[in-house]
Amino acid sequence: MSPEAMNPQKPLNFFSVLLISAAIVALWLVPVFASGSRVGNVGAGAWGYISIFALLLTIIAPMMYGWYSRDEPGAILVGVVPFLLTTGVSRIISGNTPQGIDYLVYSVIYVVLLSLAGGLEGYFAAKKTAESLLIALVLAGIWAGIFFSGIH
Amino acid sequence: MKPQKNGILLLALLLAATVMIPIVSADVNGTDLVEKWQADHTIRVTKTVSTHYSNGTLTTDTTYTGTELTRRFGIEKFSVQNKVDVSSENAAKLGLDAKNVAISSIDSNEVFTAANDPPQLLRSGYPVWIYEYSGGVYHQLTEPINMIWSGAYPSTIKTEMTEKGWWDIIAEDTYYIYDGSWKADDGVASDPVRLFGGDHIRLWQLNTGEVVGAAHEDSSAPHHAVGFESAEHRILAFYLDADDTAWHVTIDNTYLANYVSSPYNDGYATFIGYW
Repeated sequence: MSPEAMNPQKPLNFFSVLLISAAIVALWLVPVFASGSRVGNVGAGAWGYISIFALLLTIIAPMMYGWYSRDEPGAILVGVVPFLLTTGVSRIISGNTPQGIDYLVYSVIYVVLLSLAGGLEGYFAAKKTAESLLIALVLAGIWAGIFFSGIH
Repeated sequence: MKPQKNGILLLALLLAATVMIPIVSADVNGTDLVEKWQADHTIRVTKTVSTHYSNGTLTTDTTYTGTELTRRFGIEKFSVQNKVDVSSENAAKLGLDAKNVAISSIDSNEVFTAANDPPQLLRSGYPVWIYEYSGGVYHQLTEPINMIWSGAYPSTIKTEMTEKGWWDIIAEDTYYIYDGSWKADDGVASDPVRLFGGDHIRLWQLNTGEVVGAAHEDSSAPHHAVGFESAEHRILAFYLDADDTAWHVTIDNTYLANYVSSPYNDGYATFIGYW
């Protein structure tokens, strides 16, 4: 029996995807609104731990959701949607729309690469084999590497 | 005879003034020397930002190339990299190949210097710009020193920031200044990650005991500086609380000749004394 037959793909659970995505976006946004830490005289303080937790969750959520649900489309969405939404919202909050072609291209490539890595991470995790889990772990590492390449 | 004497006296004063004015208005701060050093070390380069896969590694490169860079430093290119290991098997599955994907390429004038050819300091001894490092060569960034502390340890300075919720352990790149030797920064920021942007300052303790800082406001990720004066003014406010009787802030007190047009930096550093 093939691994696919042993681990049949589950249909898209839209509600779960929506719930997880909303939770991740909220975790990113709550510290900003709670502490006013985007810029200013008050830093993130203890809310900074929430930011770190949000980052970790953004990295592992596609893998966890994919592994436990075997919902391939859902896992891809969990890898793509929360960060895409968060970065989109961040542009609106900060008013930092990319200025200049260099930074615009850099920003687009940055977000596209992260979305790609996150989506593929979820996709491979949802296959629920040892090999695919390893690939998902590598992709999670790639995601973190790309993310920190944009944090100066 | 007396009018003639007065005339001679006036003439002598005029001559003296002619000699004295250029002396008095000479390079008091040492900015001419700094500017000359900058000009001598400015070279035309091509800046290329690319992402590529090669030999098991996914690499994002910011690379500077140019004949003058090679002639002066004996290097083909100056690169700052972010690397992630990916096995060839996984790379094939991900569709990564060994071809370079150029994201952007632009010609620009940049300041480079060898580790043993440090930047000219102002007469005040303060560094002016900050540098990134690669392969024995330092590249000057358009990020100015804009804050100076005197009489306080870095830990005391940082306490005023962390008391306001700033973070001492943060995600950041390491940059350098020259102060008798090349020194790595100690960063503090309003948020550990700054996904949505935030204020960020790099600190260095000088050999004199004074501390200098390069404050800037980060954009949302991917980061770039969107403000220098804004961050400088928000940070200096930490030292103006009612209970901060030992801190003495003088805004834009020290001229460092590091004006930047965009994002704007006025070329002056705020001086904060502790006594």
